Amino acid sequence: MKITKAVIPAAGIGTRFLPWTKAMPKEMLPVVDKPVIQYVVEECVSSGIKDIIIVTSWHKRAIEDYFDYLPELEWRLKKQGKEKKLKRVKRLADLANFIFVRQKGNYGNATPVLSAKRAVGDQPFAVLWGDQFIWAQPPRLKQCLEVFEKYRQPLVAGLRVGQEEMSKRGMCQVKPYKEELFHLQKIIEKPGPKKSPSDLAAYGTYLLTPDIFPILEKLKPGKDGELWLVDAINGLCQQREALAVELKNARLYDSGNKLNYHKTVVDFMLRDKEIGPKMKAYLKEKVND
Amino acid sequence: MKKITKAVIAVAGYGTRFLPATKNQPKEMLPMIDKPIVQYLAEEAVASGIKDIILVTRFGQSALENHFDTNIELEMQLEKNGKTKALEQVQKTYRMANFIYIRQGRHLPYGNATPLLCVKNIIDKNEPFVYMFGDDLVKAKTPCIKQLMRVFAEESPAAVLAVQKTPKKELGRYATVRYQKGTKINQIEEILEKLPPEKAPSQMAQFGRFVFTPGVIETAESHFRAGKFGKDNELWVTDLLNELAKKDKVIAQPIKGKWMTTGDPLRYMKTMVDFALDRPDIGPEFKKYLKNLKISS
Repeated sequence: MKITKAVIPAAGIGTRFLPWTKAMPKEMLPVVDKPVIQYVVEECVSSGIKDIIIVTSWHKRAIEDYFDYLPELEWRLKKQGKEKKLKRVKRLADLANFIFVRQKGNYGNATPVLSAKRAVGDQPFAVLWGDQFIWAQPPRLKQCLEVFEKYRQPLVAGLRVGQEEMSKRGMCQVKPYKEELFHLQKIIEKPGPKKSPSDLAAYGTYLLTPDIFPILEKLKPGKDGELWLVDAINGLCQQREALAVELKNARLYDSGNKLNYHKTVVDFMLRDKEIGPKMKAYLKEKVND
Repeated sequence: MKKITKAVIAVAGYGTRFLPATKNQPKEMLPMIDKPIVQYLAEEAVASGIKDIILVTRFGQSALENHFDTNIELEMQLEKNGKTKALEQVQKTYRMANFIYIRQGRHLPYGNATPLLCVKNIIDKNEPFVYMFGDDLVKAKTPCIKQLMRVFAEESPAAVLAVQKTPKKELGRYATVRYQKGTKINQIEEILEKLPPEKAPSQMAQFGRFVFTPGVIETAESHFRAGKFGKDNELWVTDLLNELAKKDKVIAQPIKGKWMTTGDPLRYMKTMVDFALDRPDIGPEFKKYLKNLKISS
């Protein structure tokens, strides 16, 4: 069975970007000329996902409008003869079949996954965070889906990290399996370098089977009284085999805080054919200031 | 003449160059670190003594109005989570001034002076006011607007505009001024739009900060009614300034500070890098990151 559905949680307030996030969703932060969430959506599409379930909340209307047609704008671009821009704007609505679900329930990152239950149905699915993306060759989701199709086990994507990251990420406790594949025993949230069971961090990419839902429904609030997806995945690991995949040629782009967001923007603008060369000269001058 | 208390900010542009990012958000809402660009403009106006901020918007820009409004759900959530500092930031946006919005209708011509047609019923006949373009930012110890208001108070001209000495190769993008010979108060003879550098009358380029007497609205009206449009059939501030300069004092004030534009993706990103490096919370780390990129050209 192929995975054709992806759940993208996008209901958080984005406190770290306030006041900008007062009227705009943090997933709409632009990286060069596209919002962060578009990178995630495009990755899903290029990996073969057909249905994209975005879990939102009351202040996220802009995401729904973004992946929809906008006749006023299309009419204007057509009138101005801006065919290239028109094409880029119009294709957004055609990228995939978009399903929007409102998040309900307790605080925590397990809640949006449970909110997507009826839209997911009785089949395996992917979960990717809406405010970070991983650049990888081949795309990270594609790498994960290939493993899933072969082994049919729930899996998480992992990246090797340095000690500093071990107190910020969920770290995987694993047993070697083969090459870049591991048996996942559990994920430990932010253990720090001393207690970290490995240097493999679970990075916001989960392929889950529908037997996660009964676990989510019974999940007890964990740290800070919130419902954590990692706790549910650890429950799943006790019931059945699960895998961790070390991503190849991968790099994380996180827009979860200001510093990482600006690093991401710099990397992407340097890659831009038009802006990149001009930005290089400017950055050189700035660094030597 | 009345005291200056109103600032008009033009934010009705389409931001086509930023598409698709600006598909459903005005370009003035694009982030500059953690605030939308337009908030820096509002803060500059408020720091200069402005009480009423009039935003000339268009269809599809409700994010702007929401940004400067109360947001009870969010405020309650922040309060509950004990995020006092974030709550303060959120509340400051609607407490700092009185916000007024006017929509620029499709029946009006294109052009950077068109918003002036929209505000004629809000500005009194004897009331000078501040005019700002939504995509220009100015880093300055004394807010740019305040610098212009001082000159306005001292010289009582018909208009004061802000200018900055600009590298020759970039002059073609802006309007440049020709000063009157021997002027001690920076009075101009004329201002010329987007001339090639070799033809520009000076290196002093206009950017989006002005103090106007209400006469400029009348001038804009008369141009509109007579169908007297400038380059590309648009209504230009420069054309109005030239008409005023024929019979009255128009001052082009060089600003102490640094003007940075966000009008196109390249300049927006340069400005973003500049602002990020200035920020005490992320600046030092960000600089380290840029250094480690070991950029070679």
